[in-house]
Amino acid sequence: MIRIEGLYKRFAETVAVDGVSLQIASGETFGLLGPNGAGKSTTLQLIMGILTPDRGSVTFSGNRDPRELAARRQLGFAPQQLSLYEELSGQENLKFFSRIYGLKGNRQQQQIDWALELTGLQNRAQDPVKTYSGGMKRRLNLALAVVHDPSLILLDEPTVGIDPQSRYHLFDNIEQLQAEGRTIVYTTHYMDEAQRLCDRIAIIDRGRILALDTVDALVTQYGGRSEVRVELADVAVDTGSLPGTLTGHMLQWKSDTPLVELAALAAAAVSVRSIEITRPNLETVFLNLTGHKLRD
Amino acid sequence: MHNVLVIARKDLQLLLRDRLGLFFILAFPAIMGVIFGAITGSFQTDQAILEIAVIDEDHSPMSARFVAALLETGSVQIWNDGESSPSDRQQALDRVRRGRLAAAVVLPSGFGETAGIPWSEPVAIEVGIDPSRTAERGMLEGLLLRAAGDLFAARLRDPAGRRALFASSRQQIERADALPAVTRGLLVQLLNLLQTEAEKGLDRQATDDPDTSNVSAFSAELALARVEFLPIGREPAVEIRTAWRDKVGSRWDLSFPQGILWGVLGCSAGFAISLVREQQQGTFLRLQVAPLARSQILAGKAIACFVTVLTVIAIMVGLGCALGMRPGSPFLLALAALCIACCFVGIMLVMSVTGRTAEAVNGAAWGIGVLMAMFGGGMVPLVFMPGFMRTISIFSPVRWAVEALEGAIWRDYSTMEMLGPCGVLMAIGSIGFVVGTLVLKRRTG
Ligand SMILES: Nc1ncnc2c1ncn2[C@@H]1O[C@H](COP(=O)(O)OP(=O)(O)O)[C@@H](O)[C@H]1O
Ligand SMILES: [Mg+2]
Repeated sequence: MIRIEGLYKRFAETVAVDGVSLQIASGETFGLLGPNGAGKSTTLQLIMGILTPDRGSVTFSGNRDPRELAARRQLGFAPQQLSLYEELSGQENLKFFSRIYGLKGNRQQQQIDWALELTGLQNRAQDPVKTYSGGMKRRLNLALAVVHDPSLILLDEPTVGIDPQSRYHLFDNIEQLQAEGRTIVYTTHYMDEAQRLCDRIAIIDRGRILALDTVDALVTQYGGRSEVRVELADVAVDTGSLPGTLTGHMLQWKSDTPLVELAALAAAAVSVRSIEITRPNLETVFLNLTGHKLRD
Repeated sequence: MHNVLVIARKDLQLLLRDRLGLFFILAFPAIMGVIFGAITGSFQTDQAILEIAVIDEDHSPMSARFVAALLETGSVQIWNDGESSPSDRQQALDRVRRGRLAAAVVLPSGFGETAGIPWSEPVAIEVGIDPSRTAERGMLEGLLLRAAGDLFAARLRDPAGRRALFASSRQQIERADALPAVTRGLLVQLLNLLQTEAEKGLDRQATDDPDTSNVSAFSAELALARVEFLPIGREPAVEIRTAWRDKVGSRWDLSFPQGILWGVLGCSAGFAISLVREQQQGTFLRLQVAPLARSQILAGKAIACFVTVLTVIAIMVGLGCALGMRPGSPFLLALAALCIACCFVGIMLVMSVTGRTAEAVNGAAWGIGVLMAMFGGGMVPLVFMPGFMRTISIFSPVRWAVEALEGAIWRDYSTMEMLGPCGVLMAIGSIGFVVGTLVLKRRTG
């Protein structure tokens, strides 16, 4: 669907995208996960041809340049910044943007209704956007990206700054779009979103892709071992037979197979007050790859 | 084209939702037009220096003296040097009609023979004055009479001239057969008396007091010269000749072009702001992703701005007409409106790249607009400005727009003459369009 090779983009002193290469398959949901300023938005804009790369290339399926009008027709984009005409109603916004994509008449109305229903905005469609809540504006931002029925949808941090309810609503919307077989490129700095929604993820920091794979593969490869913390009820046991290090009542160790050691503890009849196992996730993957946290 | 219209429609829709924007492009200019119209009649112009042309068709020493005397009043500035040819007269009157000069003064041939002789039948001085400066009409008339008085004083002061003056007068009296012989005799006696008194008094005065202002002031009271006004530009329409509407009607003719320009500036500023706001709020990004050429996005904006400018001009003209304005040529007014719209669309595009935020562009656009208006006659009419400001005004698009509107409304421009201001407007518009789009293209990737 999309082939990206050696993208490089610099703004004055800042190298925003530094040699990004990747391929996105048709029908998959591809995540770009990285902290603020990692170069996610710039990468999306390069993919869409809004920005011209200093080096590298982007090709859509059929060897198409993203700047071709035919290629753009297939593209839906929800910018990170809410991009709406605040003085117009939701319906009018949808009407204008679908008209730009050549929709009219019945088909236009059908698509508008579908987009409003998808995002749950039917009841407020006639109200000016400036009266919407932040979450509703986010949902309209998504509705505008999909109203013309694109096969490729690029969502740039679609959940920034909204209430949990709207957030889950958006997840449902996106899952529905996935189910319809659309290709989605999704950027975020929330690892739980990437984990929940994305088939494959590129971890990006300072303009470079540090790792690219499915969530499970990434965790397996870069997540390291699970961390186990056990609080003992009684310390007067034979400390030599215990795994890990004991500080006070707290016994701590790292392991690929935490259940094996816990089973051994149980067999030795060690009495335990609490057990905590932290499995590696994308957060740990990121920490291991970069040495810093995803969100500071 | 279809997409361009969709975008233009959206921009007009947005404008209609923007109350403050509407105020600045409709209510504000209307208020300006009415206020300017209301105060135009009361401008104090006594101190003004009139820029006039003098066409000396007489070429006599007396006519030359007259011109010199006129200059000496210190209240006029003479555009030509008095050298004349028949085409000069037409040229001068044309300049008046186009507002380049306040008035043209023609001294017809034969003027010098009788000028400054109170009891002669003077050859009329012909004057064409800018209709917008009727306030200064009386002032100019006074200046002409004062200069004629100067001629009278000159004739008296110069011994040879004096003798000739009295001799010719005596001859005239003696030849006036209609008068009874007794009266003739009495008049000749009176003339002799006058002559001796004048010789005594004036010769003394000429030696110790060269100032003749008393004489000329005194002389001005006499009908030393006859001034005839030539028609310049449009005659007021017959139906508004009557009563107060005559006066008021011409005022709106003057003030509404100014008011219109404020509306047009409001449109430029408003659309410039909307263009940068669109970039700022990200909808421009969305439009860029859509299957549109960037030129279509800009063309949509430009067309919306164009339509709005035309609408504002139409509404203001309608309002002006309701108050008593009578456009001389609807066709040329339409031409002027089209050219103004093109010009200010270009200016809008330049304004839109003066800053990166709506606030910055707002400030810059109004700053530019106010400057252009100030130096272009949008605040104080050009005719009331000092000379250097009128020179600077050629750099202000507002000046050319006002000229185009006035040319069509009351200056009776021919289509050829309209090409001047209209050409300048179109040129400014094109430059603005190119500069604006190029900067915007570079800025948005
Ligand atoms: N138009 C621009 N001009 C200058 N610098 C930019 C511009 N856009 C982005 N940058 C810089 O490029 C880097 C990457 O930005 P961005 O792609 O927006 O990151 P992300 O979307 O991952 O937060 C940042 O350092 C940002 O400041
Ligand atoms: Mg971003």
